[in-house]
Amino acid sequence: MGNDVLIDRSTNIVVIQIFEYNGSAVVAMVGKNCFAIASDRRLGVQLQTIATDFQRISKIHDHLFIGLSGLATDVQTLYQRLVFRHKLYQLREERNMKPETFASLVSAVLYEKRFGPYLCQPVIAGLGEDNKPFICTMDSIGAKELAKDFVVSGTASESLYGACEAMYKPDMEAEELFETISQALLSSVDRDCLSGWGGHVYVVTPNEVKERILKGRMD
Amino acid sequence: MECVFGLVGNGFAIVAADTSAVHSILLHKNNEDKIMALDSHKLIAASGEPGDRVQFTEYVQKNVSLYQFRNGIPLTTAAAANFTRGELATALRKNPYSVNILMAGYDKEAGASLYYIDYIATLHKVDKGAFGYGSYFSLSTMDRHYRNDMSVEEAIELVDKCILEIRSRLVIAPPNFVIKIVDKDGAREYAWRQSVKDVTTASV
Repeated sequence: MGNDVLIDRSTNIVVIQIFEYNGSAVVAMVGKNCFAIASDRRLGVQLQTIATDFQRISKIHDHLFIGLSGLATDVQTLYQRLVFRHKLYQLREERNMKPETFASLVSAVLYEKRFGPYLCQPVIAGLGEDNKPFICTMDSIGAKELAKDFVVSGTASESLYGACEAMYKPDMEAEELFETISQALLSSVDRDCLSGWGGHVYVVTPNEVKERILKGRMD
Repeated sequence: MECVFGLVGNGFAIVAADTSAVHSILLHKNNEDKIMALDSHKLIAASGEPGDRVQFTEYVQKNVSLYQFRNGIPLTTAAAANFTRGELATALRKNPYSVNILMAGYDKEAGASLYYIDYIATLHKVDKGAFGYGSYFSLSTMDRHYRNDMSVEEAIELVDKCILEIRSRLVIAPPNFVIKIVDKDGAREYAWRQSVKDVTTASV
């Protein structure tokens, strides 16, 4: 997303890189009948840090989480729209959405705004049928990218790709998965000035959801 | 450049804003109140384009009153902040408002709270927040001296430190500031910090 810029039409001056405006890092990993999803906690406005406790990962239901990176205002708007759609689905179908279905929903919602998109990249992680973990990411216009091992998004995505590739191995149990995803996240955001200030990790197994806050380099 | 900042203390929230109305190089007036009371226990300190600032904050104020008339109870600070964010978000891709807002309020259950709302509708609940060029000085000063549960006197001391920092380090620093406070007794003006008083024209 490095070439997307916001242009001030009154002056036709290039103002900012939109996807780098607030700074973010989100990663999800698959384990043995479990998954982990983690994000950084910084909310910034370009070079200035506004808050160090911003929530990027939201729960859709007990076995489905979505992490949204990108422009914070669209993160909040998109989250509200998706929760709304899921609640309607729950009322009509009397059950929770499967992760694959939810991913298709997110993709459709994003593509609706193809020529004026939400400036976010979602990372979706859930436990599907038979507690099989499902992760995917998509770009800001809904192009889905399924993966068997890990998915990343945000300003620190390139570092995250490298760290995850190096640290990941298949079929990790929940505790080892937590360690791996935490180390991958912290080492990646340390190389990115726009993300960091700690980490927020959810490790989800069929029976429980463990939420943990990481303390990393606070800078 | 407009300076707005605020912080949350022990059972109260304080917001301070500069009071200059500027148009290019001209200072129209130096006692423009940029902190509006939404209702008895909420303050909205706004900075940004003057027309948008006044129009948008009045729009929010009237809608907050309407809710109270219709439902018989006032909105909570969180609800008012989310309403404001919703309006900004809806307008963002049609006809955006260029207004940055710090909303301070007191609720019986939640206590004092401060919400940071960007002009592109980013909402976040904060302990201390600031907008404008002054934020580079006031946020750092608050980071250094702020503690949870400050008393009113300590908080005002901190606000004064921030104002001093802005006055001494910002090249076109606004001369005057207004400080308002909201606590269980309501929202009210606390003090002015004036270095330039309005001068009446000399009679010839």
